[in-house]
Amino acid sequence: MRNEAATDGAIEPEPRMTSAADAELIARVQAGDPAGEREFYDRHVDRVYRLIYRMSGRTDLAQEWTQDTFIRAFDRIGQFRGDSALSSWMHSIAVSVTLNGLRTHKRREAFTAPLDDARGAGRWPNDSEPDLKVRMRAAIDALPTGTRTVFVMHDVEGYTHEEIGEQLGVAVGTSKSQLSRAREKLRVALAPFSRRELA
Amino acid sequence: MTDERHEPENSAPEMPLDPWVVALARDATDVDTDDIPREMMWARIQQRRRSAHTPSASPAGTPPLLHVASGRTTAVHRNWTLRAVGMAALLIGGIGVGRFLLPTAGPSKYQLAVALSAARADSISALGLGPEALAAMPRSDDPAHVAMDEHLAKTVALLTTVRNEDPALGPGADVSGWARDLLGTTRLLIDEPQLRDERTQRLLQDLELVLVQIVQAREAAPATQRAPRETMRETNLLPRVRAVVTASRRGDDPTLGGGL
Repeated sequence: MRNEAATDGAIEPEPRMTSAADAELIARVQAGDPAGEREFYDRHVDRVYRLIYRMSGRTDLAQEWTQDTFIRAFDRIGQFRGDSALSSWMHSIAVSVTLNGLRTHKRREAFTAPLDDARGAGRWPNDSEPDLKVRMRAAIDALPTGTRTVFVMHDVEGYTHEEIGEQLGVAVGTSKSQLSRAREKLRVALAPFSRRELA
Repeated sequence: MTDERHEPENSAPEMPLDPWVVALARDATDVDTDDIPREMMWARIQQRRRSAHTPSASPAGTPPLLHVASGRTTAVHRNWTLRAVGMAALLIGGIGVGRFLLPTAGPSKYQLAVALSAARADSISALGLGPEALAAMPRSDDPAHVAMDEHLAKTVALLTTVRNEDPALGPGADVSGWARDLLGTTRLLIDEPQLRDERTQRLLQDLELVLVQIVQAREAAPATQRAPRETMRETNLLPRVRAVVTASRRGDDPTLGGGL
């Protein structure tokens, strides 16, 4: 399902079908076994949290939407047919919850004034050179929500433009243009560092 | 889906980023495994699922955590408004009293600041809001308290960093972003009805103030850059936070006197 080439193979390929271990765990969860539910949570929480954090850029939203993802998963575990890997199913729920959340949660409205100050992160003081990772994080945070979402989904999470278009309800060309814009902004943000470091 | 309209399909030519840039982006947006609040989220999931299955659940009986998780509710807005009005009234009253009491040709601004700072620290202890009182508070296993304990443990590292930084330089970019992340959770905790006792509220509000000052301090005037350290000193914040964290860890370990 994923665009492995785009991610340079960094994301592990997922099994296409439910494994025997997954099937047994699902049966326990469907039967209401509390230990099974906890095992299910432990198995998926890190991946789900990381995905949502990458897409939202905020720890409070990642916490909130991770909870929403698991609540929805527990509610709908009876509908899981097993024609995909359990991790893929969880992944799709997490993406859906996050995109719904982003639609209704305008980031600029959520930030209060002091936080807005901090979000001017693209502006670095001339007298200090932040770590490259921090600069990259700030540049990604400074992307508009839609641009960031497409960038994270395509370049970081490995979705194809067709999948992104389907999830976001936009045309493939729109996804491509958003990705192009994100990459260009990141190139600009990293350009001073690249010139200095690579010269 | 977002804050900007999508362009028509122009299929801009794709120019992939260098692999090291993609790897850097992945790394920059990743989360340390230790920073994932698994237990807190699990506790909240359990509570929300329990409340969802309670047939008599009514808006009035909705657990407080659900209010927080569902976003900005009317009740939260009302609380914030009341708090803002209360704080404004207190501030105006304080200024009025100060103007009335302080002589025109009195001590210097610096002397006044030192005196006020000392008085504020004294008042915190006098009101029973100091580290000893916080450490002696009964521990609770409800999700809000668990969340607060986890959160305070994270803030210790930030507060220690800020305290030890060169005051002339002010907080750096990474510290500012760090504070911004912690600020959101702090505000959620302040809204928790289960954390409404005065000691906890004062602690969280002092923490919120310092975090806001850290966020604002970046690229600001020197006086603003010094503000977080001064407020930390005035409110004795770090020892108070540490007291709660230490007490909660003691509570986790029955051999250290708690936990059951």
